[in-house]
Amino acid sequence: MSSTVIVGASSGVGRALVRACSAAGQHLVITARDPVDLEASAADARLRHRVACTPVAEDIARPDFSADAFADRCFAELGTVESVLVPAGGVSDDDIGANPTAIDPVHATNFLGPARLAAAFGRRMAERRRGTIVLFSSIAAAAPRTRNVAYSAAKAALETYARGLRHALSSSGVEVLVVVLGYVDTPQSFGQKLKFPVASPESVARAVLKRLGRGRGRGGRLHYPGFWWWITTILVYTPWWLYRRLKF
Amino acid sequence: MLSDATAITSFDGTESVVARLARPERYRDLEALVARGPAIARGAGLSYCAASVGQSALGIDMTRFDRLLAFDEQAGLVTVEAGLRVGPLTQFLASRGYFLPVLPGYPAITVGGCLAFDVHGKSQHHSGNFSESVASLELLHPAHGRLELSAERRPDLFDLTLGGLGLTGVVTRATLRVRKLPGHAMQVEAVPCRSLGDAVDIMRTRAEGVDALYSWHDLNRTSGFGRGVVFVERFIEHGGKPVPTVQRDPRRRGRFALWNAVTTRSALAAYALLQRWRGRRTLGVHQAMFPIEGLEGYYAAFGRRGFREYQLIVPFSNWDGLVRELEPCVRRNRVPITLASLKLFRGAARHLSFAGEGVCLAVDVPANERALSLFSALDELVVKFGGSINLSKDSRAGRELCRQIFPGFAGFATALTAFDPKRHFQSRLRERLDV
Repeated sequence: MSSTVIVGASSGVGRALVRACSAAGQHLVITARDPVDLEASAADARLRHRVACTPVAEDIARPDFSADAFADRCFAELGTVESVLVPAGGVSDDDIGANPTAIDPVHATNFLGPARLAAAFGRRMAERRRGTIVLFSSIAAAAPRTRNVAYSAAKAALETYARGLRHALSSSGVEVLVVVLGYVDTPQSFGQKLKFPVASPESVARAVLKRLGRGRGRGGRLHYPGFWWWITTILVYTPWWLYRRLKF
Repeated sequence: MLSDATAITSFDGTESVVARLARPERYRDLEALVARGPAIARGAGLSYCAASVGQSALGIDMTRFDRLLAFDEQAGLVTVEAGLRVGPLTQFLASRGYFLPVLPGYPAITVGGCLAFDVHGKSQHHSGNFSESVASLELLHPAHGRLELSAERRPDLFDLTLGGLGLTGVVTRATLRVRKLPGHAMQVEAVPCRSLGDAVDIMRTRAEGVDALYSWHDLNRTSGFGRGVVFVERFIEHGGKPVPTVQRDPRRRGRFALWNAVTTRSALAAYALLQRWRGRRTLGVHQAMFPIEGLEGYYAAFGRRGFREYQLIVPFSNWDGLVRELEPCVRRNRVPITLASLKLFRGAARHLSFAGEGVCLAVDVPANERALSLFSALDELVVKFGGSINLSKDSRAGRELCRQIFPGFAGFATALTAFDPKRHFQSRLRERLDV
């Protein structure tokens, strides 16, 4: 039976991952800030699918968060950890244009926390010569705009960190994967009028599990929904005079 | 997080409200949204009237609070979040050999919605309304915090919340009494009946030991008014596994209205033939419990104008009187009746719940002027024969009519104001009833 750690499990994609992984019979450690939400998700996974599911309330954005202690606890709880999924992160309303106070908290949630976790789990998985680390980025990393400036930078940093880590761990049997998400039907996007179709969190979870099931060596990035690969690629090569005028 | 103000239409398509919605996923966010200002909880949005939206209120979509929290087989109790839909809940319970004794006819309806309208099912004659299977619940109110309510703890408020139209606060979780499932299939027997009176005689003689009981009638016929079929359903032992079903959107409406005198008569005649041909058959639990699933096209065929339903209960002693006056009333108003169905009810009236002892009649018609005139004639019959109406399926009854019909109307309004003098929870339904 495989075992998975999901960090950022109480909302959006994280919640859907808890459902999909428990439906697939995986034993889980799930983590988020609020114990009430976690307990509910854990009870649901245990009841519906009869898997072991341990809620661990933890704030990975805290400056004194110890990823090593957390990883040790997860390995102890599950025996071994096959994969760690980190859909944690989020946008901040303050993160618009030039705003120095928005940068620190946004980087703590979207870059520092997930990167620390990837490092701590990566080291332990490398010792056992197996495991998968899945980090979540956003199309905003490739196309930064007035809204969510610090968020885009944090996600870009996370993607870069993941590429380096993937390279570092490539000979030790550990896979590092980045899932680049387009619009997903989460509380953030609820009620917004968006110009592109919105993917359900359940479909994201299905795509992630499908990609994990395929095994290694297929490239370290997965765009979901797939059409965002085309959009971001075009945006990256769009000349400035045009990019500046784009409204979306 | 919050949608812009958008027009939201009731399930029957006749009431429209411009309102804002939010759909939180964390308790922290839910609490913040409830405290923000006037609010109302929203489940599947399948109330026939605009009960979960209000002009000034924020509609809080609870469908992400859809988790199973505890299941105690010994005690027969399941604890769930209020946004859980009854379809998946039934599927889970069936997999453990249990079921909810009172279920509405459509699987997408949430537990919170069942609670707020104190709904009934095809088992009303022996299991009563939904509130009878609620052991306890958690209520969130910005002025009172989180309250744990049951028959022992704050029984008055517990009672007010069951069938309280969502006006006492947001129900976050509920513990429900479940029963052992006698079998994974139901045997459905279709017994032909000549009239509405005949159907009630058949139902009352067959009611003993039957798990579900209802009837279907054709009220459009010039001869043989009310001819139809009584469905008698029993659980049977069956080795089969529960089948997951495809979910379609019941709120979808076609571009054109297809139900008129000719199409209604033909469709109903075809349905009657089909029932006669089928006779006795066996259905899976899910299929038998949610007969409306798969029939979404029936609602879509009403088109954008929508439809109206009238559901009433009259005491057994007054049933024959009502039936005598019903026929000329239907003839006079010349509106195609796309559905007419009966159930038997037991129990007593509770504030604004659809409850009581007697016969329950439901009638669907396309929404138009003649429908309204038929319904006001029915209002008079209900008042005359000491009946009651179902507010969850009605989008026109006002304060005056409800005060006449519901003996508990004034008591409900007083208790509600005493608990929440600031009237924090608001909906179009509340405005219409003026409670």
